[in-house]
Amino acid sequence: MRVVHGFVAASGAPLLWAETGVVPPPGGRRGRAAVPHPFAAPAAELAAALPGAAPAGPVALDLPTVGAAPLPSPQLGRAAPRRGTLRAAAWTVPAVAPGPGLADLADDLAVAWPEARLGVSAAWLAALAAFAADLVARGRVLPTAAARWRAVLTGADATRHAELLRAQPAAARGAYTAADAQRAALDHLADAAVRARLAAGGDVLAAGHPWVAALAGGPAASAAPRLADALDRWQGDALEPARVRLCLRLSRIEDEEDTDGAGWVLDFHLQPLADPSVVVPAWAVWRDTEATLRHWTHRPSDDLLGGLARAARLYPDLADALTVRRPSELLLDTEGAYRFLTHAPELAQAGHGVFLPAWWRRPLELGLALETRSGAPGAVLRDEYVGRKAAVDFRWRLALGGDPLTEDELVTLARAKTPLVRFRGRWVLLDPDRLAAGLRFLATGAGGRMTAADALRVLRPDEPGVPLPVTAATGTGWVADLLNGRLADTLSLVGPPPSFAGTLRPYQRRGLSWLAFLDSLGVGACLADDMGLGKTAQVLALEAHCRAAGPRPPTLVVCPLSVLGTWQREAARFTPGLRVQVLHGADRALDPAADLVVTTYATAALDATLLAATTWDRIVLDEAQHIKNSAAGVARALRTVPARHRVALTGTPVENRLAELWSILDFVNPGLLGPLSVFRARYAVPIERHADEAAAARLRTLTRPFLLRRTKNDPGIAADLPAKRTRTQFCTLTAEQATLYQAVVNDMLQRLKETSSIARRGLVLSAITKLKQVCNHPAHLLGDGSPLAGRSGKLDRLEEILDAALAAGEPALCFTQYAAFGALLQPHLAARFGAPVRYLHGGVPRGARDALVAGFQADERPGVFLLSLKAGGTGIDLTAARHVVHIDRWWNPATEAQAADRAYRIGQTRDVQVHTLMCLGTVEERIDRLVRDKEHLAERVVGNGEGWLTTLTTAALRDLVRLSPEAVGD
Amino acid sequence: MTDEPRWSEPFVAMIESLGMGPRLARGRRDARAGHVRSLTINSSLVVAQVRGPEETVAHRARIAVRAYGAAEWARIEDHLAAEARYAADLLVGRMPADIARVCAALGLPLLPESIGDIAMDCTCDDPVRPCPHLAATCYALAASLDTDPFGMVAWRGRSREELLARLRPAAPAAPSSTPSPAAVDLASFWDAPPPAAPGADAGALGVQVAIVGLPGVVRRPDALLDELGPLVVDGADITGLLRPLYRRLGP
Repeated sequence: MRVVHGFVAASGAPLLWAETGVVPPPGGRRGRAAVPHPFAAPAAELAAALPGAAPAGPVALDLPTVGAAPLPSPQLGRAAPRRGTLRAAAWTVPAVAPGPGLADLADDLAVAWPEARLGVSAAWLAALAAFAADLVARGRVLPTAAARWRAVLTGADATRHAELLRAQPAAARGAYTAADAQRAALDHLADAAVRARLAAGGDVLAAGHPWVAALAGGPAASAAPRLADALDRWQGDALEPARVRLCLRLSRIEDEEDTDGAGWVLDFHLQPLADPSVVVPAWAVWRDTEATLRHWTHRPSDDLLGGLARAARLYPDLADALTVRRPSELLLDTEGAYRFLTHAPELAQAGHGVFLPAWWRRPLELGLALETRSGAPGAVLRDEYVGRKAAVDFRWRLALGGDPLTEDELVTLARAKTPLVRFRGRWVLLDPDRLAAGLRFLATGAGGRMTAADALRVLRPDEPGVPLPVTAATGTGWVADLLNGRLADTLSLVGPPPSFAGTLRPYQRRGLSWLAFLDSLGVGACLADDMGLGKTAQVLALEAHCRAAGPRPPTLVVCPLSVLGTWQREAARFTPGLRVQVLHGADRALDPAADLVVTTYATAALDATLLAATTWDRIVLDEAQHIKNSAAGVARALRTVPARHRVALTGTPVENRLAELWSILDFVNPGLLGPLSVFRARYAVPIERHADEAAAARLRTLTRPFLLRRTKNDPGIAADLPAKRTRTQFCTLTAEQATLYQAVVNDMLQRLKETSSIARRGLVLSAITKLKQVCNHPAHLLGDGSPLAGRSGKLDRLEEILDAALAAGEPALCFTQYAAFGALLQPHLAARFGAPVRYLHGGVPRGARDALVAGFQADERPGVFLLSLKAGGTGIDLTAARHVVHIDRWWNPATEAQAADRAYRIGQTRDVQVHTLMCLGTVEERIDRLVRDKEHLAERVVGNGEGWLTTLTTAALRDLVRLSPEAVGD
Repeated sequence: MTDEPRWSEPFVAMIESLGMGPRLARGRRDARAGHVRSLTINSSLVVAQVRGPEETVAHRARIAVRAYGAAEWARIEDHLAAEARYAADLLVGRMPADIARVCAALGLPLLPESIGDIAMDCTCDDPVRPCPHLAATCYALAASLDTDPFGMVAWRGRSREELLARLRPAAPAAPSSTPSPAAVDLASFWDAPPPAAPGADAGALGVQVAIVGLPGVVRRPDALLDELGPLVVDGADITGLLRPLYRRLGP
């Protein structure tokens, strides 16, 4: 485990350093002089991990310190020392100067140091670098007399700057105050970004004027005094955002008779940046009736006039409003309103407020509608007209905001004098070039016949020959239903074949039918149902369905190690007739007769050549977010595996960025989303950076043919689901766990031979406890305070469950029997998720417990509540939780049910999902089976915990605790 | 929008109409070479210290015009106060583009229109006026006015602040204080501070929308230069020199 931190150096340069998990015992520390940080990663290692980075020498930092050692950061996930006072002490850290790619730090780190965590301070510096790059690309920089570039912060940029300042951790500050650190680093980053851009241009600029040449990257030079003075005056207060800003509001004067005349008014307001809820109209400023503004400015009228003068430089029409003594508004005709709109982004960027009518929020985009007519999707698999090569009749039309336009409407739009037109009762801004391109396209043949495959392809961005994005799919028949995402609802339902030993809920049958239909088309599918909706069962039903028709090549299932056991068990349960091979461990020869080959991402990457040389009927990626980074080795390796059909399963298709969605969907249907660069430019950037609704709508149009997502809260699904669902999550052991487990078993069996029957009881109970601790985590058994990450299959699975839950905004309760394990988990999980993790155990006094419970119930961010089963069993309500995880087993159904009922109470409106973690092929699974087999006896047999185990014979005990080969994951 | 006038143009034209080509050419060279060591503009009087490389002492060159009286300025100011754009420009440190025309139309030109409007003297012995020092001073004055056109108003007896004060309604107010930075809390050293409670916004005004991808939308990386207006120093058009740099910043 490594954690990368960042801070602002005295020069203003952002620097990085890393903590390692190898915390040595505290050494002696005397005096106040800075000494080397005892568990920092060498600068050369960190520099080698990041492109363009270079060691920057040791730098002294004041860090929180207890006793003779710096306190590990919480991201390291270590428990804080119990004793000692917290103080600041100077430590030198091996610092690294990041390259020009600081903004991409998270991506670079994910490739080079996948196990490392990004500290809050480093993530903050990366965000600052991205902000600086954005400012520079928009020219929001000004030169200083010393020929350096500084960032200009106005309008939305000032707001963003303030947001970053609020989010700044103290660790990032270095020796500066918060505001100075940010300003220094931002200017440093902006200067570097400008120089990098100018250098990329090649030829020398501005020869002849030494100061300008220095700004362009030439030899350093300062401005002459006269130039320096003039610069000062020229820049005025542009570098510092005004405290009060000018707002321009465009609105429509609604007048029944006249819809085309003057019709629009642009009125002026003042708004203090510190309190945007205060908005004072210009007329009130002139009458000087508004005392409110005096909190922020000496002379509101100066701010108004000065703002207007500045805005008029960018938007010359505004000068017309300034020919009166006390300007307060400007009347505009429709053409003028349009001209204002075209200048609005520049005005907003310069820091002025631009307000538009509320209906502006969702602009209507001009696009194409593809109307297709084909047969009904009814008799899917027997119908020879269904297939990718099936021909369908099609017709192009123009669409506005996703609605096709009639001929009359088209004529009206084509005749409009300005691009701002009234259409279907609202105002629309049309792009004349796009309209012309669309009309030309329709004129050159707007209909005909194409194949279903072509119909899918024309949805792609920047498709040659299609001048506008396709924003609507209409018509009748299966192609139309496929294109507009209605297929799952209109398909006639396929039932699972008799070979499928289970029942599917109605929505799962719809999912199966959808998968089977896309399978018959050979179109890849991404099933993105919420966690817990049974994606595995739907895929197994698909396999049973396809294989009922006759033999086929095998299907390859790739999943994370943590769910390998679940696949094995569920395949055995639902499709006992299918031959399943687990491709994992040392012996990895493919079974030629297997129907289903299940393997892990790690093994698949290792055996890519073998897998690529085999013919697969289908490849299924479970938890497909594992290939979210399309450039990473495993994603590249899996793309080379040939398969007739591809399926991706994920509960969280977009964890962070839209590029991840591209990576998953491009695996499913290579090429159907276009290249990543185009996807970024058309969707990712507009949606992520500009919250562009139209681009988001286009992306939905593009992906809905082969992306099916249902959430637990969809009305149709919620009705199908029981309010409380229980699912056993199988985990494997790591090699370290398996070794420890075997050692405990051997020790127990050895000592049983030597023990009297009186001591036997204690010996068995203690051994079972140790085995359960090993299943939880090696550190739980050893109690050595070693770091947790990556050493326990159960912990990995727990993290995945919590990841999915928290990403969906759903709080979770986690129960363990062992207070000691809870104490280990609490700091680890808090570091791993950056979400509130509360821990309630028997030692928490009453008042503190009530505060913990109230905090969890009221928290706006979804959090995790850890409880030791004993403490959690007594009359507290935690109904905010939507997940309950039993980390280890009590083996008493009543006790476990009571715990789950903390979250699920009568009258509860939300449903609850219960996850029981169980280590495959260990004592945990075998006792569970015993308890299940004797369910009617459960109360009597296991009513008092584990005492009954001591009555078993040694042979029965040996069988119970035996370690099966399948238990070991790696 | 670099269409702002070179303010000094009429003044230079007037001087050059005197028909003293060689002497003025030398004055222009001397001014460029930095012989004018200082130049101050006060009500009615421009005073410069001029010293060539071969001279042992600096000479004081003075150019005088008639400063306008209170009544004359009131006529100008009444006229300018009728339109907010004059005060608006002055507020952001800019000289209104048509101010020279407006003043001339009122019979109160800002710059002297003929040689008869100015009086010149110099501490040197050269019997001819303008002497080389005065010639250099004229050109230095011209360059100074291009950089800071408020010199024209100052020469006629008004500072920018006085002019502005007379163009806008006065309004006193109290200054506000700034908060002091908080000390570092070691317990939360590594983490981001908790998010602030969301404040109210100006929803009443309508929506603030990022307008992207609309036809004809103006997006230029050099827009900031237009926002700030032209910058001319010692005859060099700084804005013009910076513009190609800004244009390269865009995507």
